[in-house]
Amino acid sequence: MYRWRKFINNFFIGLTWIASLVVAAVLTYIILYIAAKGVSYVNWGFITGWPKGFEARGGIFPIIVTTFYLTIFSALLVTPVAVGGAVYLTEYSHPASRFSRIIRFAADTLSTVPSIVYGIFGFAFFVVYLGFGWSMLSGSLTLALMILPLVLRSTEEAILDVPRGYREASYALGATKWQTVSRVVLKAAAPRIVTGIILGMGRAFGETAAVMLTAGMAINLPVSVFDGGRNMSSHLYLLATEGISLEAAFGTAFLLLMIILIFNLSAKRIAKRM
Amino acid sequence: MRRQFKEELEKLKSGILEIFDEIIAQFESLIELLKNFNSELAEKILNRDDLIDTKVFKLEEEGIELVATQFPVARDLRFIHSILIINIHLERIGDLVYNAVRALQRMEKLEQADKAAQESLVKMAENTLSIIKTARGALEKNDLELVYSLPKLDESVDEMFKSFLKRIRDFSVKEHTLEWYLSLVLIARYFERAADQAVDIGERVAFILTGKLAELD
Amino acid sequence: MVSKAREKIFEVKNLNLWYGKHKALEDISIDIIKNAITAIIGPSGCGKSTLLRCLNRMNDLIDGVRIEGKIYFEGKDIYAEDTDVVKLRKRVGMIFQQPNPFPMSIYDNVAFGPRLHGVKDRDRLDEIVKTSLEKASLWKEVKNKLNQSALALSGGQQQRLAIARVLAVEPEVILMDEPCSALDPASTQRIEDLMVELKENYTIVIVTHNMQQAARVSDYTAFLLAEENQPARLIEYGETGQIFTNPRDVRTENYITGRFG
Repeated sequence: MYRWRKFINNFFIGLTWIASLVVAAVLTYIILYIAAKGVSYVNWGFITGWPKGFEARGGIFPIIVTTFYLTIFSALLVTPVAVGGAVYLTEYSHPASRFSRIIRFAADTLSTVPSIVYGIFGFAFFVVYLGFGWSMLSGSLTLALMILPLVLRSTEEAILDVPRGYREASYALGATKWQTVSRVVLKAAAPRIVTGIILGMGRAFGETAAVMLTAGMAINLPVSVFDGGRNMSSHLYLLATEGISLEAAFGTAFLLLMIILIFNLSAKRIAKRM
Repeated sequence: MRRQFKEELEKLKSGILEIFDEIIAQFESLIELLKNFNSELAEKILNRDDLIDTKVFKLEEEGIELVATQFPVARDLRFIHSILIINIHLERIGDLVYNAVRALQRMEKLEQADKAAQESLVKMAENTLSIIKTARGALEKNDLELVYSLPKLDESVDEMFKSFLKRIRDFSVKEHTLEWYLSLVLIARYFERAADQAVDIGERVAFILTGKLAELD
Repeated sequence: MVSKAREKIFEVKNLNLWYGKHKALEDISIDIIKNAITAIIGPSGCGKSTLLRCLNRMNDLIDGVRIEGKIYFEGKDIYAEDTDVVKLRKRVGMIFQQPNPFPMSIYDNVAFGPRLHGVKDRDRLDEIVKTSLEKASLWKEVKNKLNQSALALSGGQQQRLAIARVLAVEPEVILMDEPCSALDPASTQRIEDLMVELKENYTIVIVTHNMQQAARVSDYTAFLLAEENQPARLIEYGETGQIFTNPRDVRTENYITGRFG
């Protein structure tokens, strides 16, 4: 009887081990494949140069700038709204109130909406209705909307995770509610809030459909918020589907992957330092 | 309640009652001795005192240990504290019995020497014994009534002692040495002291029950 | 009764408290004596902390709490309409069972209170931090590492830091809600010694389940009891020595001698 149980135990351990091996293998393969195909294309010229010819030769400098512009701008737009909203929901409104429940439900639902839908909304509303046209403004606003539910939720959780004891101790010292929230709660939740924002930025960085519909597809070095541009993932898509240069596509993909990797690693270190 | 503690408290109580019984037995033997002096009995009483002292010390140790380990408060604290003091009073009574026996040994042939003196002493001893028994009863049954009856009983022993002193010249027309008279007085005094100790024991019982420390008058 | 010669700093009169429909405290009247240590004892969950929290209106933070009766702090009703709760909590500080030091440096933890109330001058803050840590018997251990995170301190040190934090706002009263429950015996001893030192200049009210602690440190002891399905009542209040040698109420005696369930 014992030997049978031992066998079953080991069998399942073995199965899970194989499953994780498979996952690791697949992920590694994807990364290595892209790296293999793209690394040769990536050099200093690629990063700093401008595209030449039918967008195939040369570099992708303006495209890299556009990508960062959109990401950073959308983060700046989303942060005050998400943090403010989360603070309201957790500290000022009653957790079980109708209003908070509706907001939370809306946030959770919106986080599952496909990005193309955001793109179409952004196009209709920002680009056409408000007249911003294909621009950094339209693109960033749309991206901000897209990552808002994510950042709102993670900020909310960060705040809720702050132990009740901190708040009590603060009130017991004669702090007002606002002093407690700003000087203690937000300070304590800050590392995790920042992590949430960075994760949101990570999503925005690699966004394709929503950006193409709102920032446009023209290759441009954006300066003013009304300038349009093309980001890396859109560029990669266009290169691949229009059959212009698969090599350049892989190069872009590889660069994109590397930047995201560096992003995630530094996000962790920043949060630890706080 | 902490069961072990409860058992320890009961053990302490039965320990003190045991010592009480030993003292009562000694006293009864002393009365025997007064009626019919017998050197064997005298030796027996003297030796028994050592055993009693050992029991007294042992009880004291148990009491202190209980205080150190159980943090007694209120009634429990008053109880343990009082038992330890009653312990000392009983040991004192035991010593008084011992001293009385030694005095008798020096006197010998008391009953032949003087019947009146003998009768007086026996009467005092019996009264004193009854006070001691009453005190025991008060402790065992937590009886305040019995406690309050003690001063009156003590008074009678005091009276007997005073009249004994007054009659001392009447005792025996035969010549006795000064030592003989002194021993006689000492024995009577020992009984009077023993009765006082018993009243003090009563005061301690009152303390356990009421929380108030006062002289019983 | 409590000797009339000593000054009262709190007068609680006929305090009744409800959590929603549930009544937790029944008609409690008690006077807290200035510059003394008063202990509130009683079985778990009987309302000792609730009573304590009424003294600095921390119960306001809980939804659905309703109070009837009056609590006078130095003659003024603390539940009056015009009471400044923030000021009250500055004068009546509180220490909790979990020290919960803020995730900041030791310095910032102690300076937190004064900064809340507007102290900005660095020199003044330095002085307040030093004095408070000295009074809390922690200065020597941390004077060279004020900028280190408070979270790195041991449990006993954190609790002393919490005391320093409260002392920094210069309260008159320090309320302590089971301050030593989470600490080892040596740290507990240090905090008890600290309490006795502090009572010279502050009034201390401590809730504790540890009866020996109440007996050791307090001058006055209040026994609170909630009999089955009833709100808590004040059964007995008096000088600690008397309560522990000859309590007047049999329920008090049963509790302190351990004859309760």
